Amino acid sequence: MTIALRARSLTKRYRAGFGSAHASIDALRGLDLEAHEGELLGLLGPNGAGKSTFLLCAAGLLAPDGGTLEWFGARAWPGGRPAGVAYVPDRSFYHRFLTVREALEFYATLHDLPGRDRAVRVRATLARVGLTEHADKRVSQLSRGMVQRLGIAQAIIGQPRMMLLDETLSGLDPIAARDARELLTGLRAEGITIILSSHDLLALEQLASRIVVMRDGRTHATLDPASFTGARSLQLTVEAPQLAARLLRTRWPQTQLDASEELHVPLGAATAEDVLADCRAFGVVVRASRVRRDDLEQRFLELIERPARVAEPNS
Amino acid sequence: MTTLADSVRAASLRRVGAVARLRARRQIRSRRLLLAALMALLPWLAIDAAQLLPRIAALTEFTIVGATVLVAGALADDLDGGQYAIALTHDCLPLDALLGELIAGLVLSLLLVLLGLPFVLQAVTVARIGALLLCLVWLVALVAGWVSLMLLLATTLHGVGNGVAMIPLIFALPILSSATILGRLPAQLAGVARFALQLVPAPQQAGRMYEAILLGAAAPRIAAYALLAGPFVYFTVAAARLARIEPAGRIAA
Repeated sequence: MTIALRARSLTKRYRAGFGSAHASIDALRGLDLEAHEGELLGLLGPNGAGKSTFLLCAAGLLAPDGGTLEWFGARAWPGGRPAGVAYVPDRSFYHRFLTVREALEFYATLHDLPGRDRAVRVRATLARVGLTEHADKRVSQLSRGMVQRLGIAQAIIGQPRMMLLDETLSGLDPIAARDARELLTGLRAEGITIILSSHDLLALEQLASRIVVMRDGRTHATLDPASFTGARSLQLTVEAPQLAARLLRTRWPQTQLDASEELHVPLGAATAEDVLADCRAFGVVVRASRVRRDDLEQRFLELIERPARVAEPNS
Repeated sequence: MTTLADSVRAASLRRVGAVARLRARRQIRSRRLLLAALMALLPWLAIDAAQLLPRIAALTEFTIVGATVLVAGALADDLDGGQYAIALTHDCLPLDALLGELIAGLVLSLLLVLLGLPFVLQAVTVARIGALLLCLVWLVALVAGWVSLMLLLATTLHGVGNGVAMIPLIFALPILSSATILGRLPAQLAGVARFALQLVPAPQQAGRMYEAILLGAAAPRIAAYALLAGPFVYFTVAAARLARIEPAGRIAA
C-alpha cells in the first residue's frame, strides 16, 4: 500500500512575545502518522491536540521544528511546498470582496490554466459542490455552509492528489453536512487521499477508513471504524460491587466487573430498565448508571479520559 | 514522484498578473483608489507656484502620499488573513505574489502621477518637455523604491503597519537630515547618519535630482544611486524574507 503522507517525530513550537512576556506552546511533540494513498483518514482529538497545526504542516504552510514529512515519498521543506496537496481551512481564508466565481477563477489562474480551460474547470467545480446558483454572490455574503463548500471547491479546482480538511464538517446544518459527506465520499472514490479533522464523530465513523486520535501533539491511538460493534451495555456504579456482580450474573451471565469496580452489563435486546429492575429486586444499591454503545464516541471518551501513556518530553 | 526540484518552479506571468489584478480590484472596490486619488489631487488647489520645479516637487509629494494609502496593508493583509497561505496551496510562489503586489502598487501609483500631470504641464514650455521627462524618470524610480520598501516592511509588520511606518519618512526625514540635528552629532557620526539618510528613498532625494535637471545644480550621486538601486535592493530583500516566512505563520496559534 502506497504511503501518501508520512510524518515522523514531528515537532512544532509556537513562540510569542518578548522578554518576560515570552511564551511558547508545544503544538506537536513528536507526532508519528501515516496516511495511505486513496484512504480517508480521520483526525480526532480534544481542542489543542495539535490537529490544525499538523494539517498546516502537512499542507506545507508551516515548517515543523523537528522530524520529517514526506508526501508520496518525497520531502519538500525546506525550499518548497508539496505539489498536489490542497488545504481547506476551518475559517474563510478567501478574498471577501470577490464573488464565488471570481474566487475560483483566481485560484484556477494560479494553476496556470489558460482562459478556456479555466472557465470549463470553474463551471464544473461550481456544479460539483452545488454552488452554481450562488456563483455571483460575494464571499462576504456566504453562510458558513457555503463557505465550507467554497473551501472544498478551491481545493479540488487544482485536481489534487491529497486534500487536508480542517473542521470542514463543523457548524453545518444537517442537509449541508449530508451533502459535504457525499462530496467527500465521491472524492475518495476518485482516489484522492483525504485527511479530515473533525469533531463530528458520526461523520468520521461513516467516512473514515481509519481514525487517528491525537492528544498533546502526538498520536494517542489509531481506531478502525469497522471494529465498532454498536453493541449497548449498561455501566453501573453500585455499593458492594463484588456481591452485586455475583447476584446480577444469575440473571445477566455476561456481567463484568472492571478494575475501577464498575459493572458492565451487556444489554443485547433488553433495556436498561430491565437491568435496573433486577437490581432493585436483588437489593443492589445503584449510585449511577449509564448506557454505553461501542462506537467512536465511546472509544474516544475512554481513550481521552484515560491518563496519557506517553511520558512528557524534557522540554 | 514529487521531488524538491519539482517544487521549485519559475515565477509565472499568468500568476503574477492574477495577483496584480486581484490587488488592483480590491483597491478599487474598497474605495482605497478613490481616497488616494483625492489625496493626490485636492492639494493642487493650494498650489500657486507657476514654475516647473515646485510643481513637479508637489506632484512627487502628493503621489507618494497617495501611493502610501494604496500600498498600506498590501501583502500584509493577505499574510494576516490566510489568503496568502491559500494562494500558495495553488502553486503560487512567494515571488509570484510579491511581483503581483509590486506591479499593482506601481500601476495604481503611476495612475496618480497621470492624474496630477496636467497640473504640472501648465508650467511646462515645449523647450522643457525633455527636462520634465527626465524628472518623471526619477519620480518613477522613487515610487518603485517606495512601494518596494513598503512590501519589505509588510514581511515584518502586520496589517497596515507598513503604511504607518512610511509616514515618518515623509515628514521626519527632512528634519533628521537638517543641519540642526546632524550638527549636534560628532562629525564622523554625522557623516555616517547623513549617508544612511541619503540611502532611503524619499521625496527629498528626487527633489535634489529635479534641482540638478531644472536648475543645473550639482547632481547628488548618492541620492541618484539610491533612487536607482532602491527598488531592486528592497524588492530582493523582501523576496528573500518572504521565501523564508511560513505562509501560515501569522494565522496559526
